[in-house]
Amino acid sequence: MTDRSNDEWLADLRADGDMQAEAINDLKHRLDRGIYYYLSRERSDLSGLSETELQHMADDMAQDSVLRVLENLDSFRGDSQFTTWAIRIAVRVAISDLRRARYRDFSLDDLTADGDFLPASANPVAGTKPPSPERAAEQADVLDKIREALADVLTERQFQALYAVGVKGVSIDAVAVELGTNRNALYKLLHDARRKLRQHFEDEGLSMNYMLRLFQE
Amino acid sequence: MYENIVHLIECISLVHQEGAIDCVSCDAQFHCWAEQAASGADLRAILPDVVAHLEVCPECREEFEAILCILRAQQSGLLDEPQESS
Repeated sequence: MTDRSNDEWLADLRADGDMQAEAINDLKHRLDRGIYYYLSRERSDLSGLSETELQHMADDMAQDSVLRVLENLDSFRGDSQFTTWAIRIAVRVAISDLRRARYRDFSLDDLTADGDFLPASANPVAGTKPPSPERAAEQADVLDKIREALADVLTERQFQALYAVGVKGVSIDAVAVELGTNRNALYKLLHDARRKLRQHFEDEGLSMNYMLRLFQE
Repeated sequence: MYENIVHLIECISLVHQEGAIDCVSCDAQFHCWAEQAASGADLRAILPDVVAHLEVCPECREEFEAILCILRAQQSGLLDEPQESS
């Protein structure tokens, strides 16, 4: 594999014939190695896949990544190594694929169909040590305030997003698809929801640390 | 019993200051920041807004860490030779 400067990468990938083919092959090989390393060493969720399956997955992702790099060559500003910029694109391709597969059957409506996700009361479940009456009353009071805040402060869309991402840990990308928006817009929506709730609770004299301590038995 | 509430409160607690960076800006610069981090720079000191965003955005954090992981493997020569069977 040829070592190239940033300018050489750009020139070779924009060239015709064998020069371009060789550069594309080198780039794909490099991205393939990087993606395979990431999938095999860092993704515990893929540990059930064989080496061959991971290699096929990395090959497909590297192929898509090269196409994406070629489509975006004009946007490379030279502010890093060209290969680092290409790795950034490859990582986005790979992780987006993995998220799509993970949340293929995800439905926001199904997730929020259960209604109230807060416990109906502060009564302990069987087998757990009951809190003191004072603490149980305090928890019940704060639970009511949280319930009111979620209903009064947030829009339905903000609640759905916050519940899915913040409580259930669903990928922002998956929720964005369900809500017909994009990651950045959803991130801003979540940021607004968090900020409004935090302000509301602080106005009510409820600090985050106090509430966490109250419910972390 | 209170797992959902604790997750919710933790999520609200992570809200950072207005003006912090968003996902699009992060994505556009990840390659530069990952190179800096891979060369030993303390991002918390030089790019606090970025670190604040990564703390509240699991998607961006996952992607940034993946880039960094590959860069470090590259720097260590781990991508130079065929991977050994494990």
